[in-house]
Amino acid sequence: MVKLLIDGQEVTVPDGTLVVEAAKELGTQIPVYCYHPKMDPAGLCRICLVEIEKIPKLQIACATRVTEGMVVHTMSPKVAEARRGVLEFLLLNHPLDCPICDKGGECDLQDFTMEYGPGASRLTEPKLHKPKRVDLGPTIVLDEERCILCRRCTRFDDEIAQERNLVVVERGHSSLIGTVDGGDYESYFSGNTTEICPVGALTSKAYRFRARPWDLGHADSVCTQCSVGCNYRVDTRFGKIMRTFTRENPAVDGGWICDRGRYTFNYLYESARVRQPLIRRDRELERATLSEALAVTAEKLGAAAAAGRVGVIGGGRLSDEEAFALQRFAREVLRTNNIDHRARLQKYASPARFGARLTDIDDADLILVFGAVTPEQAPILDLRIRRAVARHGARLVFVGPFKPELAVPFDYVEYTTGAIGDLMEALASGVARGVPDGAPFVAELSKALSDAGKIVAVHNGRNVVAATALERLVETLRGNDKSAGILVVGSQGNARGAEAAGCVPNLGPGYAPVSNPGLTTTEMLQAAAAGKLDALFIVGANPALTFPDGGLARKALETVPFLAVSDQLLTETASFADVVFAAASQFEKRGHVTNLEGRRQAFAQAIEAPVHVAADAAILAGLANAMGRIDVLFDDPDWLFSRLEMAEQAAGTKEPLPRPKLDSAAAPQAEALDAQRKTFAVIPVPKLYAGGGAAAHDPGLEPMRPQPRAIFSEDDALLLGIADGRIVTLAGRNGSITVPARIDARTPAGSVLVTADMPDAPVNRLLDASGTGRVTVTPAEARREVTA
Amino acid sequence: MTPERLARGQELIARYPQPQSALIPFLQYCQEQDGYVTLQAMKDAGELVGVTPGEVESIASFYTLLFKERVGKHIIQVCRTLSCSLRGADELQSYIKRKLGIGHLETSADGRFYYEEVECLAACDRAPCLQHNLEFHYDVTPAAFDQLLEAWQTQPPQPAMPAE
Repeated sequence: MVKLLIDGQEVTVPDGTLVVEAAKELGTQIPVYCYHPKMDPAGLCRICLVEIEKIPKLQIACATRVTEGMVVHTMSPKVAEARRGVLEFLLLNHPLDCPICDKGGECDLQDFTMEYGPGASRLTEPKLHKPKRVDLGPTIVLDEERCILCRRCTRFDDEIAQERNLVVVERGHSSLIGTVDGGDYESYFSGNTTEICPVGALTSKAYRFRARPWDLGHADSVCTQCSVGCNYRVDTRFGKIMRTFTRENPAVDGGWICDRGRYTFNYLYESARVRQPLIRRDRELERATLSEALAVTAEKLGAAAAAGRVGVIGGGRLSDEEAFALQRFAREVLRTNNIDHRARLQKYASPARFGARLTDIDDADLILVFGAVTPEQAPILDLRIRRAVARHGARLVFVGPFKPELAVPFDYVEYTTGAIGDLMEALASGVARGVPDGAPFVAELSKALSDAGKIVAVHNGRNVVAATALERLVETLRGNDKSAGILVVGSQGNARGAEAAGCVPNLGPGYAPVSNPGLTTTEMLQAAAAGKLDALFIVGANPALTFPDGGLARKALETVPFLAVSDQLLTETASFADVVFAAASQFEKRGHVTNLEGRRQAFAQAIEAPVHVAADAAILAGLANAMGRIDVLFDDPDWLFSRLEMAEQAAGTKEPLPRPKLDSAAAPQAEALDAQRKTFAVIPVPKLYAGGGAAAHDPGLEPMRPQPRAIFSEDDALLLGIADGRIVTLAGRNGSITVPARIDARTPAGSVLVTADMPDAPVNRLLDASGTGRVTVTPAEARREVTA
Repeated sequence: MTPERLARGQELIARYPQPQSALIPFLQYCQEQDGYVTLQAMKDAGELVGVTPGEVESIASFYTLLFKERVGKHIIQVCRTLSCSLRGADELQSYIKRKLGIGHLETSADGRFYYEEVECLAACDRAPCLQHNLEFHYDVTPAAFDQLLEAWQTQPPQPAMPAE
């Protein structure tokens, strides 16, 4: 520890602390532009000059480390004069267009000038003009005149995102923020640069000229676009969402959010939004009142429940309270255990034991990712991995069916979907016996695991054989005095919350086993397709697009005599429904969600729901009432939350947690390659902006939305006679999709990578319930030239 | 990346302890071949030495001897810093621009001349200084420039890059 004096006050801080941080301990704010606590000091802007006794010249507080007995003055006349000078230079060519600047009101240049700056400029020459509307890419517009070249944005792209695409180009007074050849700045984290920009240079396209900061209302919310659960603030005006803003939770998001989370809210105002309940009359969905919809649904669900022929799918989009309400509705009102939140490939949302925390990634020596494509499925978790690898020298090993593009160096181990269990078994026994054997990489990896002090494994929760083997591996590692833990990346934002609240056929709230387990999603869909169910109730899930066996899902939705769907948007699934409930979004209600590490976080209501839109809790309570069960459910989140907590306490479940029930389709089998290349194995590839719900309808995400692709290896493309960009038709078990082909050397031989969850080209036409499938590939006829 | 380019790149990398040290020589080599630093050259360079194309752009745009678009064969750079200004550089600059019919950072229509005003060329003792490709000319007056121009009409231009 080091003791020093700042403005006459004594403070003791750890050795190596920067003067600017030491001052914060005393509540003294030293102005900064280029300095950002999450990044290395740069010493570019000079606004943080302070006087340090015994040093003749003023020093920058952002890059000077404290020493014993240091005497610092942050408010002396010398400092004030220097600050005034620095500000005069920074403002020399600044356009002073604060009245039309998005940053006005929350701008450090504005604020510090008011506090420390000169009142007027002494420049009599004309100001230097620079481009004012540089389109930097899908999310950002850059105003070069406002830029003070603090390089926070380029350093963010370098140090935090590890992408290094946003750079300073040119030099001296011609310097600009730019990209290679003026191309797009494309990053999943681009929005963060608009927040850390201390001036109005980087402006968000979604928020440009929409509101002034002092007019905004704020609600502390939690992002539900993926299972990381980043904390953010929702800023509103006149009951509409204007923007979202980070709300740092060091244990979860570290002060950053991804662009999918940041920009997904304008879908609320799109025409696909269900703004009123719909009832199918004469084959068409027509608008109805909530009480009509409740009455019809109550009658049909009641009759089906009485016959024991009813199923409920959903929970991962709901709050913890509503997931609890949904399972309670199924179990207490419909008297069935046929409830399941799993409408995708994921089979479980939590490790049964040895759960890790997100912060465990920060100081891990070895990060083992298998199956989950972290940049696409959990971007902020990926940001932690990037930092651990780039800044702390962690080793990253990715095990998966194809080699992904990651921002940091990693070792890749290829496995076919069915074989990952074997690999995990081999690793577990290799480490347990201390004599690794098998394939060279297994031996090498076993040794690396034995050598590492701290290990974090990230899994996608699809392969239970692998998960069980992984738990044995972690148990062995812990037995050897190592720190090791597991994170499971959820498929829906609140998958873990839904699992914990009891939206699985064999477990009630708090993982309490139920006596008579019901059907899984696959089994419900099979039963519905075979005419063995009279009614399905789907809440916040879209199996028509996301269930691996799309043929089965669509047949089930078509066949079931009565289908009720509750959703925010008219999804692929909702279009099959007999009744559609208009459900409130997360922004229009309050409650809790549970992130992938099991952290339960509260979110506040930001806006009012449209008049005919109701929260799922209200819809479920309304249905219970309409079915004559007036004492079972209330729509009050506090009541539901207290009941959920009571149920969890009563269950008192300890680790290892019981597993959600699996069905026969659970384990994908290792498949032999088709040496003849008559058929290709399909590998679905997740993409951050793919999906059928909010992602498909949000205009803010439009420029980032991926195009569906079929990616082949070079050899296979040659064999098929297809060039890059050629349109091909992939025909599988439930139909076909027609997409452009791409050639990428990283594709495994005999396989085709297909973008997952694309509404125009659903990969689930090609897969079975285990998520595997084979296709034949036909290049489309060369299109004839159309002449006018 | 063409095989020749790759071979040259690897040869350059072998000269230095760090692969990234080969970046500028490699860009110079590409510029010699293509006439300027193309987007493809920046991508190739990044791939070769292990940086992103953005980082290559940042470096390529920093140096006045690396060009991001096609320029004339005769590259004329006149100092615009203090010492040269005091010794008549301003007059020289306007004379050259009028004579060649091009402005700062422009290339003549016939593709022969490129003109640029640059910061200090470190020849203050014999200001004003003019750099023609890699050659310095000192104490340049408008009349002296006319003579230079005449000489360039017959002489083939010097290479824009230092020879090996």
